[in-house]
Amino acid sequence: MGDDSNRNRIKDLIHRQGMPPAPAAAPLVTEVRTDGGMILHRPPKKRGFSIGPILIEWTYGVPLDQVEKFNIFLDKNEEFIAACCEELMEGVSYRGTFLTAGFGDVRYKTFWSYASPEAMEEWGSVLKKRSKFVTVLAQLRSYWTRDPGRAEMRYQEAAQLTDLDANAAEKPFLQLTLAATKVKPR
Amino acid sequence: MEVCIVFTPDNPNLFTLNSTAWLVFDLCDGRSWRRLEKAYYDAVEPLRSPEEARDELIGVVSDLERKGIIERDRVARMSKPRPTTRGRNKGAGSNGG
Repeated sequence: MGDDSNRNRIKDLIHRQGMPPAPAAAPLVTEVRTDGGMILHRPPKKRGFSIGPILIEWTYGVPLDQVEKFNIFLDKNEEFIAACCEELMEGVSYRGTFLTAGFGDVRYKTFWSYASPEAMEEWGSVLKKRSKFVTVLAQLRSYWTRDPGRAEMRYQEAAQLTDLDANAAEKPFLQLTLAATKVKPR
Repeated sequence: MEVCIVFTPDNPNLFTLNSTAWLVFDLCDGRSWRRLEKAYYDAVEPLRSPEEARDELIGVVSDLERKGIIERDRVARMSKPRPTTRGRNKGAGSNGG
């Protein structure tokens, strides 16, 4: 048992699994297997088509010499980030970080989805406490902050905005914008 | 491989430990219960509260002991319900990776 490097490997394994499993020690039943056919797994159950009503997108670049390091960081931490979002907050989901697949700029996009506008406030209580999650999140965000050309966009499901006048009732600037569509530029 | 396989020669059996049980097994190196509890919580926070981590730990330590994978220090038996664990593991061998 236990030198530090072995222990750190076990901790890394737990971390990569996202939600730590309940500890279990199960009897190992050995069996002799014949050379059978291929086991087909059923496709995962189909889920709703929408990622969520509200989507936040971080766009940022990472210098080429840090790309692999960042990808390793993601491999190690994404399951953990996703599990923390699901477990510690209501209606907040981490949806992954994607890398451009072409030969141009190396750009990343990190997506978060929210079940409602109120869900965006869930971060408040989580970020006030020190935890591994906050540490990892700050590391992820640090890649975004280092890019002077970074961007953050908020999207919402278009199909939920089918009556723009009603939606603009309490938003004067939106009212002005809608009115402006009928004004001819001089 | 993401499990640890343990052999208990006194009562010949093979067991697989999942990642968290494996960590507990690894941490059972004679340390005090308080240090064990802290080390385990550090590994599973913030997805477990301190109380959840403690309950889990009590459960798995008892289970590992019952299966002959670890054994409790005699002195620690007097300090229930917070036992000290000792990783002598009754000669159990492990192979994980």
